[in-house]
Amino acid sequence: MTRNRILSTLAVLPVALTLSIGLHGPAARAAAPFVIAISADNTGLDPMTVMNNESGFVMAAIYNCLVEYKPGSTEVGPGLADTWEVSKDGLTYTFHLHPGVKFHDGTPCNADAIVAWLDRQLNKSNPNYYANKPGVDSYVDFTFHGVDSYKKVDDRTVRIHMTKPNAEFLNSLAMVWTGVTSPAAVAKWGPDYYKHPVGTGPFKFVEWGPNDHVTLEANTAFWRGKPKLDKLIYRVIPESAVRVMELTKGTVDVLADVSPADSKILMENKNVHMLAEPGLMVNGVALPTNTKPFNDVRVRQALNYAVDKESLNKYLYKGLATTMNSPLPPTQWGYDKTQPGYPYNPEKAKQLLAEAGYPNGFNATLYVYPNPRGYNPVGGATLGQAIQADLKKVGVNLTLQQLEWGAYLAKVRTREFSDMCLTGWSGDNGDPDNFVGALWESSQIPSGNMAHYSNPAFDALVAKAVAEPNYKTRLALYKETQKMLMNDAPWIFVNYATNLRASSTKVHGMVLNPTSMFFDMDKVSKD
Amino acid sequence: MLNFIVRRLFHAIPVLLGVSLIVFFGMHVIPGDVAQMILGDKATPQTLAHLREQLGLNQSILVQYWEFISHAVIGDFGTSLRTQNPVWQDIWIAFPVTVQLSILSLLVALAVGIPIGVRAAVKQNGWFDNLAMVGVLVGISMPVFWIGLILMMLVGVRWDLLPISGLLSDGLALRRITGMTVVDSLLTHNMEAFWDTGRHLVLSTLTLATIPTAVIARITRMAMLDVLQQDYIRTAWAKGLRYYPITYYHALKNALIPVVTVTGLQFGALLGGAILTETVFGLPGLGRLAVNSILYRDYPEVQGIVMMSSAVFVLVNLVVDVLYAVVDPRIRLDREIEA
Repeated sequence: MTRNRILSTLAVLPVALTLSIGLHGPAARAAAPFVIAISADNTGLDPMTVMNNESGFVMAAIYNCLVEYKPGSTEVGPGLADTWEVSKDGLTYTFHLHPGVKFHDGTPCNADAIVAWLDRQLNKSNPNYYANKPGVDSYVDFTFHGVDSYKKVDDRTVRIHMTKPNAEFLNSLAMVWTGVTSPAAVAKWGPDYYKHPVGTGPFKFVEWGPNDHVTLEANTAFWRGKPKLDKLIYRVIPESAVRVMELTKGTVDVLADVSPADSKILMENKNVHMLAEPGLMVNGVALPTNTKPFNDVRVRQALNYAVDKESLNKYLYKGLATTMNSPLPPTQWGYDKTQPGYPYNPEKAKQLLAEAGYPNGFNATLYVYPNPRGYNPVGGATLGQAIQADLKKVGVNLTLQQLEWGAYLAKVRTREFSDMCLTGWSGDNGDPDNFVGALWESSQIPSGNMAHYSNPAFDALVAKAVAEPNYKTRLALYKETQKMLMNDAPWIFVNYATNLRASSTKVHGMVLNPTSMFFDMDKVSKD
Repeated sequence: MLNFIVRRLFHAIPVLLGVSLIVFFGMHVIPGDVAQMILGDKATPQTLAHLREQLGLNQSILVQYWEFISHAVIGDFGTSLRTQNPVWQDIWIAFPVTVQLSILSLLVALAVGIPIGVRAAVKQNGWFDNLAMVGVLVGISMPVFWIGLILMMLVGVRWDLLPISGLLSDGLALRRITGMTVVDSLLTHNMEAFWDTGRHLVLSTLTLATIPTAVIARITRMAMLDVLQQDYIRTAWAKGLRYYPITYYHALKNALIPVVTVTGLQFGALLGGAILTETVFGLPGLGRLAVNSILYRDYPEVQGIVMMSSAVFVLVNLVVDVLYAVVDPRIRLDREIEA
C-alpha cells in the first residue's frame, strides 16, 4: 500500500513541479509598461505598404502626418505642417512645416524629407519605390491620384500640384497610411524598412516579436512635448475572451477591439471604462436600381419604411448600433443630423408599393455573406433573415442566397448582378466623398456602387463638391447630396455599428478617433 | 540501421509530393477568387488585375504548380502575402515556440500518463482503474479551448496565481537564440526570464497535455494488461519480487512498444494540433501562423506550413521506428525492411 502511495505521489509530481515553478518565480518587476491588446498582428509598419487596422494602431503612435485629425474628429487640423494654402482653382497645395522637427533617427523633417517621402510614393524610378514588392496593400493611389508634381520651395515649404482638383486630398493626408517616414531610414533599410519604422511621432520603435507584440518607447524629444508614458506595448491576443480576462486582471490597459459579445461584461465591470460612439461606417442593403421593380423610387422607399431598424438595433445588435438617417455616419464631418431617415412604417410601405403597382408585393432574392464585418458585427446571414422577416410583412418575399465572402464579392460586384445584396462600408479618410462618392457615384459601378445607382444630377453635385477647395461650400454641397440620396433610396439604409474600445479606469486622456486609430498617444497617462 | 534510415527518407519523397498536390490544388478549389479575397471590399478592378498579375494567377494551374514545386524543392516557398517576409523566415520564427510547447506537454503527458496506466493495469477493475479510465475519457473528450479558458479563469484571474497568455511578461527582454524561451533564458543565464516564461507556460502546457496524457495512460494500461498475464511475470511474483521491480522493471519494459508508437503519433499531432492552444493562450507558434494565413488566404504561407508540418511528421515517425530498436533489442530494423 505504501508503494502504491509512492506511485500516486510520483504521478502527481510533474504537475506539482510545473505549478511550483509558476508559484515561486519572482513576481516583482520594473515599472509596468502600458499595454494595448490587439486581436491580430500587424503586417508591417511602413505606412504606404499596409492597409490593415492592426498596422495602423501601431503606426499612429510612431508617425505624424502633414495634416492631422483634430482629436476625436474627422476634421483636419495642423500636423507636421502648421499652416497650408490651397489655390483658388484647387490645384496647388502649399504646406508650411513646423520648425525644428526631427525624426527618431535625428534626420531633420524638413522640405527635403517631405519631398523624398512623396517621391518614394509617386516616382516609379525611385530605388525604394513603395510598390517594388509584389502584393503590396496601399492607399497611395487613393491619396495621390491626380498629383503631377511636388517640389521644395524653401527649407520649410513644400508645394504639391495636381492635374484636377481633389478636395478629399487634405483628409487623405491625415490618414495613418500617410504617415511621414524618415528618408534616411528608408535608404538604410530599403525593402526591409517595414520592420524598422522611423517617424517623428511620440513613440519610437523598439522591437517586433511576430504574432506576439510590438514594443515602443517614449520619444523624449517629441516636438509637441514629452509623452506621459515611458513604454507602449501592443500585444497580440487573438481570443476575445482572453483579452477581457487580461484587462480584468490588470495586465492589459486597453482593448483595441471589443467584440459586441463581450461588451455587456465589460460595461458591468467598474474598473473598466468603455469608449463608444457610432463608427465611421455604414451598413445596409444595395437595391438594384436599374432592375424592375427596384427602378421605381417608390418601391425603394417602401422597402426602407418596411425595415424596423430600431428593433434590429435593440435586439439583434444588442444596442450596439444606431439607425441610419443619412448616407454619412454621425462621426463624419458634414453629417446632416436633420435628415429624417425612414422611420419604421409598414402601412406607408404598403401604400407606396400599391402606388407603384405592387399592392400584393413581389418576390426577390437577397444575397448575403456569412461572416461578421466591421460595419455589421452580427454577420450577414443573421441580418438577412431579420430583413426577410420584416419585408414579408409588407408582402415582399425574399429568398436568401448565401455565398462565402470571396465568392460573394465576386458575384455582387459585376455589372450583370441584378439582385438585392447586403453591403456596407468603413470610411478610409474621414472625407464625405469617401462615402457619397465611393458608394453611389456612377463611375463606381460595379465595385463600390453595387446598387448600380446612376443619377447625373447627383454625379454632378459630387463632382462639384470634390473640386471645391472651400470647406464651408463643401459642407453645403454635401448636405444636398445627403438629401438627394436619402430621397432616391438606392439602399435600404440600415444602421451605423458602434465603435467600441475598453480601457482600465486607471487610463486617462484616451480619445476615440472615428478612424479607430491611436492618435495623440502622447497625451495618454496611467495612474 | 543507417541503411534503414536512408531508405525511409527516400520513402518520404512520394509522401511529400502527394501532400504538395493536395495542399496546392486544395487552396485553388476553395470558392472565391484569391485576389478578391485578399483585397476585400476595397478592391478596384485595377488593383485586382494588378494583384492577379503579380501572383501569377493568370497562368494555367499546372504552370503555377510547377513554379511552386520547383522552388519548394530547395525550401523556397515564396514570400508571404500577409507578413511580406519569406515564408521560411516566418516558419523559422514560429516553429520553435510550437516545438517547445509540444515537448513540455509530452513530458508532462508521459510523466503522468505512464504511472496512471501502470497502476490502473495492476489493479484492474479496482477503484483506481475505474477512476483513471473515467478521467481518461473526460480528458480526451474535453475541448482544449474550454479547459484552457477554465484554467485561465480560475488560476489566472480568480486566484491570480499565474499569467494567462503570452510567453513572457510585457517589457521583459530575452535574446533570441533558438527561439525556445526556456532554452534561450538558460543559455543567456537570464534567470528572471526563465522563471517568467516558466510561469507563462504552465497553463498552456497543462492544457495541451490533457489529450496525450489520456491517450498514453490508456495505451499503457492496455499494453501492461497484456504483459502482466505472461508466464514470466507470474514467475516473478512467485519468486517473491516486489511490486515496483515487477511492474516497472520487468513488465513495463515489454509494454513500451505501443506506448512509444502512440507517443510519436501524439508528438506529431501536437506539433500540428497546437492550433487551439496557441490561439487561446496567444502563443506565437506555427498553429497560430497557420490560422492567420488561412484566414488571409496567404497561400504561399499555408503551403509552406503544411509541407513543413508533413515533413516533420514523417521525421517523427522515422524516429519512432528507430526508437523501437532502442527500446526492444529484439527488433532489428534491417530485417524488418526485408520482411
